[in-house]
Amino acid sequence: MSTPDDPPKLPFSRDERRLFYAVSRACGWLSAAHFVGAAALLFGGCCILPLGAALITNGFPGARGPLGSVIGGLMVVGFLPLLLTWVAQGSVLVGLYRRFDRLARPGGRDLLLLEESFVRLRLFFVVEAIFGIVTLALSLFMSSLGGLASLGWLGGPG
Amino acid sequence: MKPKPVEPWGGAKGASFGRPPGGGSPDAAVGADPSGRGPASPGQGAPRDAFDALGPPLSRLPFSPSSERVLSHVVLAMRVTAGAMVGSALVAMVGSVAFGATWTGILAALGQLAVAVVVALPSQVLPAGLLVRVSNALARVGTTDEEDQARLIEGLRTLRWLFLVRTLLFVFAVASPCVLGILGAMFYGMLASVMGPVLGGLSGS
Repeated sequence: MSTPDDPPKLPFSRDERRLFYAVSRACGWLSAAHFVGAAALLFGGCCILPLGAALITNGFPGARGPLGSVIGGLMVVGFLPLLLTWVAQGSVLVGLYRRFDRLARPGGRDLLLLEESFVRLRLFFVVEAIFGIVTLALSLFMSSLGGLASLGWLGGPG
Repeated sequence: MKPKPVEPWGGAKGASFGRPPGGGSPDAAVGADPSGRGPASPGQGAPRDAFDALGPPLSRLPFSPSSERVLSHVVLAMRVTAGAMVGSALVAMVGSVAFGATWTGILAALGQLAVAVVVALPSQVLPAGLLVRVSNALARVGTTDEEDQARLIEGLRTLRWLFLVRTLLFVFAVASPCVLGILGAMFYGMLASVMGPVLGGLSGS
């Protein structure tokens, strides 16, 4: 009978341990990509924010109506949440990297490490789901904006 | 001769995947499970390391009820994400056709649809498919008591591919707007400094 001090050992084979190692490396790469993306976004913010502000004030060059202002507003408002999301996801992925890296070594804490990995996977994918829903809503919003613009209600090119 | 560095899982670096557990001679592999799980029967040699002493894969992993609940949340979040990704791809395709047909003509709209399909297939539909596969495998771990360990490994194997695909897409998605954004901002800045009053007049009209 296992106790919290002596958790049950799971019979993972060498190939399965190797898979844990590969998963940990994949987590590491994805986390690095998120951090680099956040840094690039921070750097690009210097370009995006003035451009968004200019669009809010002036609209699209050569366009009439508030379409440019709406897109500029989205650029300014969407910048910070995207940055925070990427940093948070990168941090969660670092946690996953560590757990799967430890799972790659045979030991007695496999079950605990797997349970901790599930908690981090839940965090990661809940953020992903929220991000996906927001992206879907934005796609719908932009498509309807495009539809309204094509009807001449929001202005358009020329 | 320098000793081979040891990998975290206990094998020697550079060793082939088919070597028997414990790094024994090829003869010792006769009768061993090709997955590296150890001798097929107790009479085929004494265990040499932790891997040799392994039993068969567990049909039920003894997760706590709270962990099984967490697993069901993971599965739900994965399925919602996959649905949102496919929905976004569909909206982008329909939107590109409608937008193009209204403003640029039907031929250009078909071109935009082709671009949308080419972009959406690898960036949205492929990760969504992988997500569904992972979620199905993990759902079986949480809801059934049959081949839990094998399902978990199947799910993690797909998760690894999902993460690698996401990494490539992320690098591509970050790199291209970064470069385009910097070039665009430089171009916009030059244009604004040279033709500022003209642009202001156009946007006001």
